[in-house]
Amino acid sequence: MRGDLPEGMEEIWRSGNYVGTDRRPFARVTVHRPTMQLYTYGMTTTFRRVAPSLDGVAVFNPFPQGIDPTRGDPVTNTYADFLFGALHPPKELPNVAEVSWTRTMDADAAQCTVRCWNTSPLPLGEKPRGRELDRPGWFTAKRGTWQFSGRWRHEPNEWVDMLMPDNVLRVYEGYGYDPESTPEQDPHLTLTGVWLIDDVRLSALGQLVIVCRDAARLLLDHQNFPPVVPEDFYPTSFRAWDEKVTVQSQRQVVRTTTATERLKVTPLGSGNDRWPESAYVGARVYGHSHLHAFDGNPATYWLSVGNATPAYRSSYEYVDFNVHGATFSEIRFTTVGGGYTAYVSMADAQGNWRPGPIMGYHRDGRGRYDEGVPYVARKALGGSEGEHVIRFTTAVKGVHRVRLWLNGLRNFGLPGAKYRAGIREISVRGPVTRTVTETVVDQRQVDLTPGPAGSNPGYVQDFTDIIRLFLAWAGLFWPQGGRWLETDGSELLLSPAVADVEHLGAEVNGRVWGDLMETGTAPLAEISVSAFDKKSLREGIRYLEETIGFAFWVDETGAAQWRLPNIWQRGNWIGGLAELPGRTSAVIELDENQVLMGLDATITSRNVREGIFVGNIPGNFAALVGGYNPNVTGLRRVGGVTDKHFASAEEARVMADLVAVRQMLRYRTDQLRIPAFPGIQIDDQVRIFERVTSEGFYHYVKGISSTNNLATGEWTYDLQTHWLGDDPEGAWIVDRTSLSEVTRAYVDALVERRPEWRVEQ
Amino acid sequence: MIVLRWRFEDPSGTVPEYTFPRNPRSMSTPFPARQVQAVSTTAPGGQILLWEGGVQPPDWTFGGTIVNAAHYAAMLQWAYDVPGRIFVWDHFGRRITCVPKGLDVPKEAPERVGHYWRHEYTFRALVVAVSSPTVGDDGPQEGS
Repeated sequence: MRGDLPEGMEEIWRSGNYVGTDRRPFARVTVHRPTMQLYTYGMTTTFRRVAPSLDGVAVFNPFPQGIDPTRGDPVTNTYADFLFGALHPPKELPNVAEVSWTRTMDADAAQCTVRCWNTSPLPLGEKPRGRELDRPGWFTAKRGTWQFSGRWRHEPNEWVDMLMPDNVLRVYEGYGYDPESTPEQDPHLTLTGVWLIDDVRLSALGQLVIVCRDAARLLLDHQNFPPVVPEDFYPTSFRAWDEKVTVQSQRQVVRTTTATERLKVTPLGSGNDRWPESAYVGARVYGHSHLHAFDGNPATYWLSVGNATPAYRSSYEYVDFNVHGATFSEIRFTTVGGGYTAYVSMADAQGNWRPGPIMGYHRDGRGRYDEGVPYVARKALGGSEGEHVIRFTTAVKGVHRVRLWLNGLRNFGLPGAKYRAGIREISVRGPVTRTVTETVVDQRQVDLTPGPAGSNPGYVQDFTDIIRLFLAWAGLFWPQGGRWLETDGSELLLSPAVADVEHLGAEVNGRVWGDLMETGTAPLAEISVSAFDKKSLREGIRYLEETIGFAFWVDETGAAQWRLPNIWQRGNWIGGLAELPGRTSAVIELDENQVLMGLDATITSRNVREGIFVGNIPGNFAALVGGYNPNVTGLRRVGGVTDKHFASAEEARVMADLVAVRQMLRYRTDQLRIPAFPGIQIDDQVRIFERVTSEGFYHYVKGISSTNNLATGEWTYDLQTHWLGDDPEGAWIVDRTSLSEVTRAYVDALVERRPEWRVEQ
Repeated sequence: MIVLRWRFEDPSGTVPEYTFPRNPRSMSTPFPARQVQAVSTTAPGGQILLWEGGVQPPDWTFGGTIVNAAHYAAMLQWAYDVPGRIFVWDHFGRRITCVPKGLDVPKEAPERVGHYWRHEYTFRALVVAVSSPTVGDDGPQEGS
């Protein structure tokens, strides 16, 4: 029910007196060339989409604490505005002979036809061209712009680009008119449609017929495919946020490890150094230096000075090295040849030998080494030349100088004293503690943090989010600062009071041009790509209409309407651009004494079922309710439905009750004609009184066809309606007592909802 | 009594103005009829619905006597050869903007000596607009 009608319109309508300049039916039409405006927003998801794991399962990294603009994936969304971006003012189309339109719940888009005359009066004083009367074809698109236009001396006029497909008509209708006002400001008229031109039919006899559809055409013409659907959202599928998802999160773990590793040692010298005549510190014996025992090359080796016999008590040779106080647990070395006995002596930083048994070394007048040195380890090496290891059961600490003695010297066959010691490599190993930082990936199942559907591809909190996205993608995005240009060049500011950041995204500065109601539910299972892909956006909405039982249409202002059909509670929605949108208990009466020009009622049992059952597919539970039939004859028609998604007998009962109600609504339908009244809209309830058909019921308006013939002055509405039950005096619009308690609670919850109006209260 | 002569005028100035040698004897109303329709509602004794449509340009006729050949030729020219809209100034001083549709000159009486071209005529036109009269109750004044 419109709440923004011109003052006095209903009074004129009810009076039946449509005569005179102030009361006669009138229609004025404007046309303008729209320009689609695109608004692209860079936003951030509330979760982070990470690369699929190796097993191919997509995982997400949500932010359970809410939207963190510094994290999440960047996402780009583009919304389109077709209705508020015109660059030039509209022009009023003269010569309108008839305007007719049909708006119905059953059609994907409303349709309008405007008939007018394609000629313009020749201004007085101008010379006619030949025998041509006035200026025929004046409104033909591109008139005077073609190469051959000179044939008729046609020149371009201000209508060159106006009456062309895809341009926009606005139709204003009402009772009476003010020739001094623009159509937009005419106090007698109200906007009855915003139409996109489909066809312009021109006849040689000067008739011009313009066929249009309403803004739902934007949803029909635009496919669910890029570029209408932004790439980040394509292909479109939708799921609720309430599912659990596999989450990966990363954390840093610090670990301390201890391993036995080779330690740094510094060679100090060897016993050779005491024999300067044959060696000196760092000097070589037959080319061999003590440094060869530490160079990492097993091909080189240290060679000691010679001894006449290995049996002497002075026949010990050694190599010294510094371990710098490191903690070590083993000494590894390889010898040249075998058969040695090894001893290890250790001294601290001050040179004090660590206590232990005393080495058996004696100079006996032949040696030059220190006597009385204690040793801490001894090992007979056997005959092989392989690696030898001396391990300490307790790690050695605080040692600097280490002396590795060899006894049991072998004959190297060299000139002079033949018995010597040879060592290829010496290494010291000890425990080394290291700190390692590792990245650990955890996986767990968590809830996602819901965010706007406009910045979280594929996720919705309500079915209505899908409707919002489709509308905003198609061209019904309503930007802040939006305005309509009027024919006199002025601007009608139509700016949303609040941007819909909750649904369209945090960065968005606008909302959808429409009044949308939340459904209160979201997809139980993912709506897959196949439901939408490469189909028209309108087809996607139709899919949701059938799924949810909501209704979609475009109203007189070109705005989308999405809500529960108005069949559950007596009264009407006052919506659109009314100053105070909301609910009213008022219902317009169509009385045979006042406005009813004709009525055809049909009562039919084609939809009657004596029984209606609903169950789940396995048959675990089902509900059976009786259908409406006031004429009990014993027929046993049964209809039903099974669906895997029913989770309980209560749910099945609700569905069965709802089916029974729908069936009852179709039992009686009317088609009636009345003088036109723009206060009546589809989805309204009206009450009709007509004696011959015993009509006195409340009816639901599901279709309106308007015909406004400006020549005859006859302006009528043909209404398609169905009744709302056989108890017009009842408190409820349907027989509440026939419903289960669960169904009553369900419906009560639904009727408490209200659309999110364009006009803020 | 001073009589205001009828005359034709071409708004574009292409054809020179023509003043009738004798005013028409009769004319129909140049004003359009209102388009009013009535429909009753379905109830016996229900309300009558009255609709008014847009004004349709009325078919207009005026007629009189053609006095001579020149008069006949002029009437013929203004009926068929002047394209577009013309002004007809009548005896009230009203400017009647119209589109000529034709001229009927039936032969109804035997020729008379000296009045060979005398015939009754009817001029048909579609009226687009009528201005207010300029003549008061005392008729046209000298020089008007």
